[in-house]
Amino acid sequence: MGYAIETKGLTKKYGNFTAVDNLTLKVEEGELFGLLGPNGAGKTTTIRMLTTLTRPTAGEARVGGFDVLKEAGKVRTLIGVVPQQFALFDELTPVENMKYIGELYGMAEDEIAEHTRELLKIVGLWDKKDLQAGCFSGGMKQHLSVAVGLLHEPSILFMDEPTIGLDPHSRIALRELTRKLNEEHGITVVYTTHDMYEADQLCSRIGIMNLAKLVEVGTPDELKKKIPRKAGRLPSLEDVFTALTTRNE
Amino acid sequence: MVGKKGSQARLNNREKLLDFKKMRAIIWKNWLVMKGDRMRLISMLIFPVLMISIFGFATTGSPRGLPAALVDEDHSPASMALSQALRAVNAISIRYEVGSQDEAKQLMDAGHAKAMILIPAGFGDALETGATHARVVVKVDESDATVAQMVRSVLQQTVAAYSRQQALAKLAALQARQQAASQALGQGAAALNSISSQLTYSSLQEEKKTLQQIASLLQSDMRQADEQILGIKNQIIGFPESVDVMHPEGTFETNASHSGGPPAAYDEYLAQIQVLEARKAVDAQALASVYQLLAENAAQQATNSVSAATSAETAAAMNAASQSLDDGAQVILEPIAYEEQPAYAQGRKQIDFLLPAIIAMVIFQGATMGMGRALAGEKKDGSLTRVFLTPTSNATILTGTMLFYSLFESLRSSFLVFTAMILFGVTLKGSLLVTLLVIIIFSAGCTAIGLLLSALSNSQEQYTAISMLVSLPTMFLSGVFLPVQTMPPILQGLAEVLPISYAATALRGVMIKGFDLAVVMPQVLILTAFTIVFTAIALVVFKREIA
Repeated sequence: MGYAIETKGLTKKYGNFTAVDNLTLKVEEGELFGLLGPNGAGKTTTIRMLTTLTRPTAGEARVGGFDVLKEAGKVRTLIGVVPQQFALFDELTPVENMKYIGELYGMAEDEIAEHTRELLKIVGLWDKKDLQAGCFSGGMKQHLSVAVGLLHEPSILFMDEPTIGLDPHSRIALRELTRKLNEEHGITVVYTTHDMYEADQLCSRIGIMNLAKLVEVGTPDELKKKIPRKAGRLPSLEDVFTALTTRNE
Repeated sequence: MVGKKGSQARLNNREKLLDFKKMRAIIWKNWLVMKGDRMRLISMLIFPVLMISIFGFATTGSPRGLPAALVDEDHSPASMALSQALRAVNAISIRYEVGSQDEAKQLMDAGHAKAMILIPAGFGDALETGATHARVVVKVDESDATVAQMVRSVLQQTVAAYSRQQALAKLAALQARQQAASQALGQGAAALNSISSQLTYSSLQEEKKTLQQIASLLQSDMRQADEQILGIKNQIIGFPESVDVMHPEGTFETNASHSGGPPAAYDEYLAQIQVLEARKAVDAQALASVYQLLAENAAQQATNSVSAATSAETAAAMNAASQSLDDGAQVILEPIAYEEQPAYAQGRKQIDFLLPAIIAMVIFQGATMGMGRALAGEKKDGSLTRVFLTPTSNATILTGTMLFYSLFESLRSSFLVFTAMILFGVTLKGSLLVTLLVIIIFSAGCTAIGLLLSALSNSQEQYTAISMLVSLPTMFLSGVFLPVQTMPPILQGLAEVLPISYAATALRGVMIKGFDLAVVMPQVLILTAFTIVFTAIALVVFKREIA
């Protein structure tokens, strides 16, 4: 078993501002890895570097065993992304959105059609498959975004705050889907969220970022042991989070 | 069930630099985006129609009824005739006729009148006497330069036409006077001729001969008298030689003491001599008169011949001058006859000449805006992120987008051409295929410019700002609004580095002048080079980066 993600000294600077500082991280294949941190800690920038959307300023990163700079095409073939922004074509219907992206992945037409039907049914958009995505609610768009991210059967899935703006039903459904993809298909998942309960429930391992640095990595239970017990009880993940990170206005 | 097998299976797929299947998908998607945004699609299709309609209607008719104020301070028949002529001009309409310049100025200030025309007092007199120039004063509201220019030129033409008309009338009067004078001169010459014919050369010669005969008779009579006097003197030999026959009285007394011939005979001789001397004196007097007459005769002869010659010459010169004056009157007033013939075809309208430039501009606008929407806009709204996440090369993404907009703009400008044909009867002189070829190449060039601009910008707002820097000079140097040939060299130079100049030249060549591909090949090649260079630069500059 190799590493799904492996970074060494990964750094991203925007002028004088350091968004990600010397990040070294290993995520094993089949893990459901949670990336936590306050706003502006560098989670999204890290995911962008790992998904080939942003060039690192320094350091290196391998995803699925491939260098994000030198073998970007291979990385792109392997990974699936549910970005923070919906990243959909509003003028296109769900089916058209998926057909377009599927073709850009080089998928065969019948494969695209089959996956589209299956995924749209899973996210509950099959009955809206011929409506323009622009008129969807935020939750529906998020569902479609998930469906598009899964279309080409990625081996590694990056989900950047996927449950934001979803109602509790949808959150539960999306969590179950994520767990199923990870457990039944062995898909490695990198998951960011501000919902500590969700992270605790879902993730096999968690990395906490603060001020552009990775400050702690471990299973939820390991992390909880890092800080002192509160009134004899094991602290919650939220306690860990607030203890390890600074408030960032 | 969707798993992870697919992505791993595709790991071995080689990513192509130019993947035509993916390009087809990009074209299809862009069409869906276009089609999905009805308002945008309709606006994009209406735009060229609107453009051609505005230009078509704006350029087919000359300006009509621009309001003007007239101040006639002269109130002469001439000034009234001029205001009549001004009223007949379609381009302006004399809405106000006011008494003073101040009133007219107020009307102009209020925007009611675009121009004022002043006919100053003394206009009619000046025109009549020709002592000074008759003046017409025009003031034009300059706030709209184009309208001002039109009003100015229309008024100038009207006044010039009226002025010419006046000049012609004056010339006609002069001609009539000249004709009358030359007629009178002809009559005088005829009278002179008849007089001199009475005193013909031959009669003067005869008179001269007679006078000479009389003179010779008188001379011979005088000689006879001399001879007789000599004979008488010889008869009275012994008479003192000193006796002066010319002074008989003096000699009489001297001769009284003379001894010889009888005194009675002597006296008789003297008397005879005296008679002869008297005869001689009469003869001499008559001879003097005859000589006088001869001189007069000679003078008369000379005068006659000179006056005949002069009158003939004068009459001939007057006739010639009058003839040339007749011929030349029109030429003097209009030394050059202006004649315009259609250069390329009969019945061409201005819209025909504008259409190529309009097409070029529509393509430029559409292609740059479209590329901005497709790249800078989608970068901003995140949908381009989704494309960047796929294993698709920059070259494929960018050329695919370029292809779509090149096709779309080609179709749109074809639509524009057909609209122009249907609405304004525009005809293509050259081949439709060559026209389309130029349209396609220029569309590609414009998408390349759009590509380059979107490579430099991170959002559609940025793109709009940057593209204005390019589109503004392009619009104004395209020749649609202003003729480039009359611009200062620096702007002409700028126009030369803009692809639109070559597109407009090539389209004009094909559409109006009927050039074939070989003639517009330089432009086609330059446009192709532009396209390749811009695309190449854009591919290098374009960053596949989400900031």
